[in-house]
Amino acid sequence: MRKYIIVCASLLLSIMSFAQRENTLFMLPSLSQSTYVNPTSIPQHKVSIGLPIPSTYFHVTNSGFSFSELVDGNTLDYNKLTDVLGDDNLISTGAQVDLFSLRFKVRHNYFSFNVTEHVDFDFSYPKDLFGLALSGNASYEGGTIDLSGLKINMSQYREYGFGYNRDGKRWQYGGRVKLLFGKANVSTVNSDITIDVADETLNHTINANLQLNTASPLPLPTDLATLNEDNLDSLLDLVNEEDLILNSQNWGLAFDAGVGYKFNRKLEFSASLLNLGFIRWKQNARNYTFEGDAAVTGVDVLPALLDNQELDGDSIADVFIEKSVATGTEESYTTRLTYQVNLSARYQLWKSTHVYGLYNIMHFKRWRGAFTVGVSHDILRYVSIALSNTSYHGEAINVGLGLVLKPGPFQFYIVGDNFDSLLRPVSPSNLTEKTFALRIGMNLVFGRVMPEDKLQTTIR
Amino acid sequence: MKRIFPISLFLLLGFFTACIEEEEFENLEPVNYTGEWGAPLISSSITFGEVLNRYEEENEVPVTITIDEDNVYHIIYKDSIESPELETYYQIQDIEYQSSFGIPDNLKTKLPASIPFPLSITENFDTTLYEPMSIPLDFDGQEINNAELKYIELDGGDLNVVINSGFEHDLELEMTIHALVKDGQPLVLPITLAHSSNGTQKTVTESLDGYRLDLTATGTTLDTIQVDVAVEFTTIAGNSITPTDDITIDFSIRDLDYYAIVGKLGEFDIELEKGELPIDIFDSELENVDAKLDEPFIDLKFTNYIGVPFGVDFTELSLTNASDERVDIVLSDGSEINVDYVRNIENLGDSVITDYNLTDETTTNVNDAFDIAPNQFNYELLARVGSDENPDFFLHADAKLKVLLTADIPLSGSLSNYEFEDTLDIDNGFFGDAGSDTSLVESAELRLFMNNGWPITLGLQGYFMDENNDVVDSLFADTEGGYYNFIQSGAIDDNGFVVNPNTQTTIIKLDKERYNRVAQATKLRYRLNFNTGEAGEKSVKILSTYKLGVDISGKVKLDASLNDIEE
Repeated sequence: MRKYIIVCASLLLSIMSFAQRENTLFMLPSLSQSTYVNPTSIPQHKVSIGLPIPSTYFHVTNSGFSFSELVDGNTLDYNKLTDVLGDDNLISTGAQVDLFSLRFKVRHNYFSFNVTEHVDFDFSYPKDLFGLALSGNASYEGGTIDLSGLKINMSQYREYGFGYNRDGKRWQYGGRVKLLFGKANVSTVNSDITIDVADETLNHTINANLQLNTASPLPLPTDLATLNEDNLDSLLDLVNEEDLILNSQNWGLAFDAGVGYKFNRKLEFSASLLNLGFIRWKQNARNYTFEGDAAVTGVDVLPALLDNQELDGDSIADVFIEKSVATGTEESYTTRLTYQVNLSARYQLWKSTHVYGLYNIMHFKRWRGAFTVGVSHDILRYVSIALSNTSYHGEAINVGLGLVLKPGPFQFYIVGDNFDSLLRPVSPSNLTEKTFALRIGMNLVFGRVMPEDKLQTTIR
Repeated sequence: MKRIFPISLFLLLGFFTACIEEEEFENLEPVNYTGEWGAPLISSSITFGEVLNRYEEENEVPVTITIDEDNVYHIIYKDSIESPELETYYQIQDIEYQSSFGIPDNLKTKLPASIPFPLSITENFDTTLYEPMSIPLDFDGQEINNAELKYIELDGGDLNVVINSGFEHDLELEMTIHALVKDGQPLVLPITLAHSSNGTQKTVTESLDGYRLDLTATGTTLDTIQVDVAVEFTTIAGNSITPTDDITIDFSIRDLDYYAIVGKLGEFDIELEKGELPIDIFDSELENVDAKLDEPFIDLKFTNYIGVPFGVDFTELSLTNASDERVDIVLSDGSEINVDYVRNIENLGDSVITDYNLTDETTTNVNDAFDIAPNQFNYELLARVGSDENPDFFLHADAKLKVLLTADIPLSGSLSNYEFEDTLDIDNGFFGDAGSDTSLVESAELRLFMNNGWPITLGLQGYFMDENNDVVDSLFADTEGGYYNFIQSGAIDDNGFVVNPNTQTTIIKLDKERYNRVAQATKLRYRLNFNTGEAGEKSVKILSTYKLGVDISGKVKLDASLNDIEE
């Protein structure tokens, strides 16, 4: 049983795709949700309504390693992590649920509105975090455990999006204004942490410059040292669901914008900027600063013995909190969304078949790029399929698939990146993926924009 | 159209129908966890100054720490004994004397043998009574010899005068007692005796609080009480006057309390209770210890509140150690130590200190006596008073004799073979719960880093024992003389000062097998061996800045399957 737990946990960590990077969705403009990644996307239906069940998107990413990299024959050697991890690694997971979405056409203009709940968790970790866990701190004797780059951003927020795009003869324009209302956030800034491990004595010196910000319905104390199990329970009692759902104190704003150009009847280009925005966190905002040097040494036993005092050793965490944490403040703070840039080209190979090239870069701590090629094909007006491959995180092959079925006014869809492992026998050595993303749901669509025989999907 | 949905459904299912090689996952064997974890266990340092400060502040036996001009520490122990207030012992018994006198001869010739009627004659005559006497004194019940007192300042007591007259005539007496003086005036007692055929008796009582009992008869004599009696004699007609008619005076001074006595106070001995001064720096079992202190200092200060000098005989003057060894402090020729002369005070209320130093090694054996590392100084003495005869010596009621003993132990010298052995119960096991599974541990390492600026070498050996007291392992494998010197003395120069600290690293490695043995131990018997300097051969001096630094760290290397860790 334990073995399965390990395998599943490893799988979870080893599959993924970067935060909200849905490159296959880009190739399915028949879905109104495609405007989330391409604001210039021109829909095929005059009206599209998205319902909360099951319009859901989920993604998980671990850029550091894939499961197969830890497998050697029949052995799961997690010690290999220290070999395969880079200096800067990312675990990211999140989900979006469209509580409601509506898109409709007025002449050559398309208007949209969506209410989407977001939960994002991004955790950037250095190689030494796993090195410490696997090898133990003794292996750093005489050296430094470098935890700089340890960064976390955990947010829940609601998006009210108002979109517009217009289809011109040569140019297409599109954009979305998104009002954001944060529910809860935990995030770090200035996350420089190193731990020097002295030779022989193994004394630890923690050098920290870290600020942890929190905002939530939970009124945490400004002095973390006073937080204990008892008062945490009483604080939790102060929170009710209404605070969480209807909280509008943490507002924010974001924009998506894009432009498309039809070079000729077959070739189109587009460029877009996504998620350029912020959330200002005010509700119970707390700022905890960990700054300075703190030494963890052995027990100062000799004076204690002289004074007949009880010996009491402090843990590293005790010392870190005791010596590094200044009293927290209650300043509001701002977090930025993870913004992305897409540059794409689409070429109409045959009447219902298009090939795509997409370069996507996103910024979390640093720019992270991905290149995708893909093909989409429409089968009559009932089915759209897409197949893609994305290269990123040093992985050349990450296969994505998308499928849209439209029986009547219903439009069922499932789109995901990095499905290749599911298309081949799933064995330890085949789990090479570092990302996984899946969007699944249903829309109600009405009114074709163009007659079937003239249906063209366009790259926006 | 009809084929589209089956194809699409097939594609949809294709997402999820990839074959899972379950057997391969099942056969996947995680490697053992082999992380190595370490932690600083002890990181501590302490100076000798800190140790001594704590010792001075918190020691049960009061001590004072001083630093001399050579920066050498001294531990000073003090103890004092004192006599009770002298009025407890030096006491004046009741004074009584009787005197009789009749009509002086010149008056007898003037008076007829029988007084005719209706004649009544009034005459006056005086008499002076000088009564040399030994004032009855005793000291704690023993008679005091050779005392001659000048005066006694009284704060209690009663004068009792009983006058018996054999005359059949009226008498008016005025007794002037020059020996009792108050505010510069002698005590005068007017006494009326009415005639009676059977004689007349009169008793007069007077409180003596505030009087001085002057025993000089207003001159330079001692132990003499002077009383003047003036008599007015009025005859009664018809009554006879016989030559044997007289007046008898019974004079007594009783229940005397004094606050001062002046004169030759006589010979008496003041015995003080035995004193014991703990010297607890050596308060251990030191069976084979070889100690040598440089110039220990023993000093006696006699504080005298009495206006008479005295000599001191020691009935005990010795050092003993925790093993009940005893060395008597004697003069270098082996004879007992006595103090011939302890000075007296000059004025009432003063005190004067006479210092007597036992330390001079040319005259006493104190230096050698400390070789047994004594933990107690024992002393008992007798103060002998009375060797001088000065009439101006004095004592007051609350005067006493106080003896302050000071033992000044310089932290300079050598000590070797100080050994200590004890057994610790480690019921919970040396590494936690005894009997717990230690299979996760592949090896462990304990590392001791000593930076010793103290002039001491500490040897240690420990034996791990199981519940049956069988030794299962030892702390150190390689020992010399049964000890491993895990703290080595700093380098010492010719003057006994540490010039360079000694740095020493000791690594105790425990492989899996040894770790398991030690982990099961429930007792640790350990032995300590303490030497100053390199082997106790050099005399060393202690400075406040001497510092001992101890860093101990430990590492544990694990080798465990994840199942083991879970359990």
